[in-house]
Amino acid sequence: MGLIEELQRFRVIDAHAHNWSLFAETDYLVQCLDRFGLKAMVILSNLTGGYDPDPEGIEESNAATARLREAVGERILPFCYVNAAHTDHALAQIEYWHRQGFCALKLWVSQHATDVRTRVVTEAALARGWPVLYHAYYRLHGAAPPNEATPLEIADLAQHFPHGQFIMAHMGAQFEHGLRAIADCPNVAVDYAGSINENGAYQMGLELLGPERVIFGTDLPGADYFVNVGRVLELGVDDRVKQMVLAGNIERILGLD
Amino acid sequence: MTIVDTSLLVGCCPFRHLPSSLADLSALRVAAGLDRAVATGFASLLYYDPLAGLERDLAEYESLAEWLFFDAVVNPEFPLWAAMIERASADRRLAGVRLVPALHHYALDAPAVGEAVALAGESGLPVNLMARIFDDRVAPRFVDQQVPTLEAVSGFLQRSGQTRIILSMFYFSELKALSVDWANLPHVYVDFGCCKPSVASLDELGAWFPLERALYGSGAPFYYWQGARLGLECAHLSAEQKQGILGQNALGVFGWD
Repeated sequence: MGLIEELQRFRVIDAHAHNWSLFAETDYLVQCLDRFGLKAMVILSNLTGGYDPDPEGIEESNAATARLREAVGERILPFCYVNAAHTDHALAQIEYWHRQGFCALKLWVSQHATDVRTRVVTEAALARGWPVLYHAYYRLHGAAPPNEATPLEIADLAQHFPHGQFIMAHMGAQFEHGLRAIADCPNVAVDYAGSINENGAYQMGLELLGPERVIFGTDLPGADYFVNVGRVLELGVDDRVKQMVLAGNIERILGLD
Repeated sequence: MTIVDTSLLVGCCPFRHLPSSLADLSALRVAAGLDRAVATGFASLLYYDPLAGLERDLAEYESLAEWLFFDAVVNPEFPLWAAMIERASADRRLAGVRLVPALHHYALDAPAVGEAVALAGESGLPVNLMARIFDDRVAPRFVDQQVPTLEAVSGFLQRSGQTRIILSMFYFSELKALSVDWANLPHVYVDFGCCKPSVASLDELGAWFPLERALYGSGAPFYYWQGARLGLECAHLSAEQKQGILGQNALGVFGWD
């Protein structure tokens, strides 16, 4: 069996993508959905407003996600993006987009996970049954965005809400650090979305967290679909585990049929 | 189809366990369908005396010599660099010379670099200029990885005469930004496997780079390998072009045809 045929045996949901850059074009995004054979794609935001978006930027981002969902349909899984530093606005966005059928909360780098405002916003999302996907990065080089969360902060937040479901993005970038940080938080799943391609990340995730807590995502269009999905396909685990990673776990977390 | 991986990274990595035993590499060969591969060992890269490191790598993997070849890592500031090149030209297990200025911190315009490149060329050996070992974002903090500037790389290519040069472990964006006329550098090859290109980038690769000089390398087992292969196989390239990139072009550059 060739590599392409092997990939086609699996149902795949990309649980980490953005509608910016090339994906701001709906037609192109749909072409990619078809080319990659994706069942669905989580859209986290187009990141309007940069590291510290104001309320207008947040609204523009969520509206773009909603337009994409409207145009493409149920293959788009919309996440609500907020800046917890604008707490009242974030709470209103969660309330509004929950009523519009969005399915989870996305937090990026505009607030530390240990910030009391983050807890307020997180509590509101969890109260509506939403999981929270949180960017986390253990940054070894260069300056971090001022309010970027580390994996240990994600662990702190998850321990504060032990009944809430969290997804820590990128395995925290340096995967040994990130996975160890949240290993003892059973309510934290992880993705390894992005262009860091170090062998061992998925294996350690599966070993340390178990197959239910590892989720496939790409960070498209900033990273490549095939580079990301190939990591899962080459794992020395049985097809049942690969299917959980490629779709089953995010289906369970989002309550998809 | 002939498949040649031009850039394995093998041996005892000081930073994490790699699946790099004889059995591991044999399994990798089967899974990836490799006819041949060119490896660089961590001992060659990291020993004070690269020749001693190379001898250790060759001894460790001698039983795989039918298909697993090595590059001799040459540090032109080290006293024995000429002996390294002579050693490489006399041993069929050694496919070429590898320069890693990111680790050894010599200038690419240093006279000894030019002399080493010329001697390699006279000896019939290609020279692989490796941009980096580690992803810049997650390189260990205690490794001072100094990736050469694009200006330095461009000058190096212009000065490299008739010696066959392979560029590896450059990011795709760096390769596109190099201010060189690829058509006027017929001796320069590029390993596109390990630069994590998006499939959209591969679709249009032929528009700016001569595909008969494109190679496939993965960086396995330090890096995941299957994504790069999937991307190449799914790119909008002809079957002949894919065969060339995945193996036929490498047979030519290493003189194996």
